[in-house]
Amino acid sequence: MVALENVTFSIQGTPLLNDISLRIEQGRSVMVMGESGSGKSLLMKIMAGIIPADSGVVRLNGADIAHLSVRQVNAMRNDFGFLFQDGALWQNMTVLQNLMLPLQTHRGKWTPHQMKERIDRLCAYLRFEDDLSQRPVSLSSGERKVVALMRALVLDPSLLFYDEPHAGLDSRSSERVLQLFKDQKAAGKTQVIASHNGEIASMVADSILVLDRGAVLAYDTVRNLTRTDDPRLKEILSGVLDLSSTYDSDILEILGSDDGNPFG
Amino acid sequence: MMVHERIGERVIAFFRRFLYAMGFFAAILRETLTYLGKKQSRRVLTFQILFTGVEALPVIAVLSLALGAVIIIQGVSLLPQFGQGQLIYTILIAVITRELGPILTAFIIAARSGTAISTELGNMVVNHEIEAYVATGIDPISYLVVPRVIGVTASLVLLNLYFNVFGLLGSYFVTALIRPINFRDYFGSLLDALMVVDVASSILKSAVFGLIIATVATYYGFKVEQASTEVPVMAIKSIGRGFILLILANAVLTLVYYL
Repeated sequence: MVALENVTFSIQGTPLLNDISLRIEQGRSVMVMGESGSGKSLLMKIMAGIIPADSGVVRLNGADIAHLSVRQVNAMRNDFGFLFQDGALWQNMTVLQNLMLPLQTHRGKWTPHQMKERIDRLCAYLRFEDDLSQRPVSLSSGERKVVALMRALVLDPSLLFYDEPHAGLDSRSSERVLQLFKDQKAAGKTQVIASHNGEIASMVADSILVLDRGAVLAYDTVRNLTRTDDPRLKEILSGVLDLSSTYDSDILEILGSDDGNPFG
Repeated sequence: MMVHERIGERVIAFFRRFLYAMGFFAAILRETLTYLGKKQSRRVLTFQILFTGVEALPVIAVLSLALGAVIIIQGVSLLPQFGQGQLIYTILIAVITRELGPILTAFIIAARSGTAISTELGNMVVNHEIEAYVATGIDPISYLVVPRVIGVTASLVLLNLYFNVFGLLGSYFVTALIRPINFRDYFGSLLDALMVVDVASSILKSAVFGLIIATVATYYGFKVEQASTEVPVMAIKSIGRGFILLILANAVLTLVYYL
C-alpha cells in the first residue's frame, strides 16, 4: 500500500508538487497521467521513497518512510521494483551484472545458479535474446529499456513503479510489456504506471491519477473519468481515452500469459 | 536585498554546506566500519586499487627517480663546500620521506584519481544511476563511496612507500651514472639517518591525504544535480578544494611532528 499525505516538493522556490494526497491499495493498478512537466516522474520517485518530499508524509505499507532508518528503507526495497524513464542502467556493469546486483543484495542466500535461472526465465518471458555479457552502451534504447524492466522485475516484487514503460519500445516489445502488466495484475501485484498509453488505461488501470502543474486534477476509476465534464480534464484525457465509450474495468478480460508467467 | 542580508545569507549557506560535508564524512566513517562484511562492493574496491594504485606506478616512478637524483646531485655538489657532506642523508630523508613523498604522491592522485572519481560519480547522478541504486535498496555511500575511500587511501599509502623506495634507492643508480658513490656507504648512511618516526609520519600523512582526496572527490561528484555541464565544474572544484585541504593538512601534520 502506498499513501501520500499533503506532499509538496519545490526546487529553488519553484513548486513542482503541491499538496498531493492519495492512496493506492494493495493489488491495484494505477496509471499516472499528465502533460510533460506536470510532475509525474517526480511523484513516482517520491512515492517510491527515492527522493524525499519537502513536506508531507509518504507511507509505504503503512510506515512513514521519514521515520525509518536508511537500513530499514533499504530492507523494504526487496519487495520494490522501479523502472526509470531512461532506464538508468549501471553503465560500468554488464547486463548480467545489472540483473544480478539486486539479487545479490536481497537474495543473498540464493546460489548463483538460482539467480541465473531467475534471470534466464525473465529473459525468456520478455524475449530478450542478446548476449548478457554486453555493457548497456552497446544496446539499442529499446533493449536498454527491456533490461531496465527486467532489473525492476528480477526480485519479483509486489510493488512496482514504471515510468513511461513504452517509451522507446517497438510494437512487438510494447505488446509484451502490456502482457506483463496484465500478468502482474492477475498475480495481485500493485502497479503504478506513468504513461499515456490508451491500452494500459483500458486494459490494466483500475484508476487514473491525472496531474496538472504539480497538483492532482483527478484520481478516479477509468469509467468515472470518461464521464467528466471538466474541460481541462477532457483535454488531457482526450488523446488516451475514448471519451465516447463506456469503460468498465470489471468486465474487461484480464488475460494471463500462456508462455510461462514468472509472477504468479 | 540589503548588503547585510546578502552577507547573512552567504554565511548561513556556508554553514549549511559545512554541516552537510561533515554529515557526509560521518556517514563515510560509519559505513567504513561495517564495510568488511560486505561482499558486493569488493569489485568496486578492486577496480579502485587497480586504477589509483597500479596504473599510477609509472608516473610515480619517474617523478621520484628524477626528484631523488636532483637532491643527491645538488647535495653532493653543494654540501661538501660547507663541510656538511654527511647531511645529504638527513636531507634526503626529510625531503623525500617526510615531506615530498606524501604530498607529491597525493597531488598526483588528486589530479588523476580524484578528478576521475568526481567525474564518474557526477555522470552517474546525471544518468540517474545513483537513484537506481537507492531504488534497489543499495546505499550509495556504502557501495560507491566507501570502496573508493578505502581504495584511494590504501593505494596512496603504498604509492608513498613506492615513491620512497624509488626516490631514496632508485635515484642512487641514476646519480651513480653521473657521479659515482659507494652504494654500501650510501645505503648504510641512509639507514642511520632514517628513524621509525620518519616512516610513521610519512605513512600517517599519506593515509590522511588519501582520506581527504577520496572524500572531497566523492562529495563533489554527488554535488552534481541534473545537468552534464555541472560535471566538469564539480571536477574542477574537487581538485581545487582538494589541493587546498592537502596543503593545510600537510602543514598541520608537519607542525605536529615537530611539537
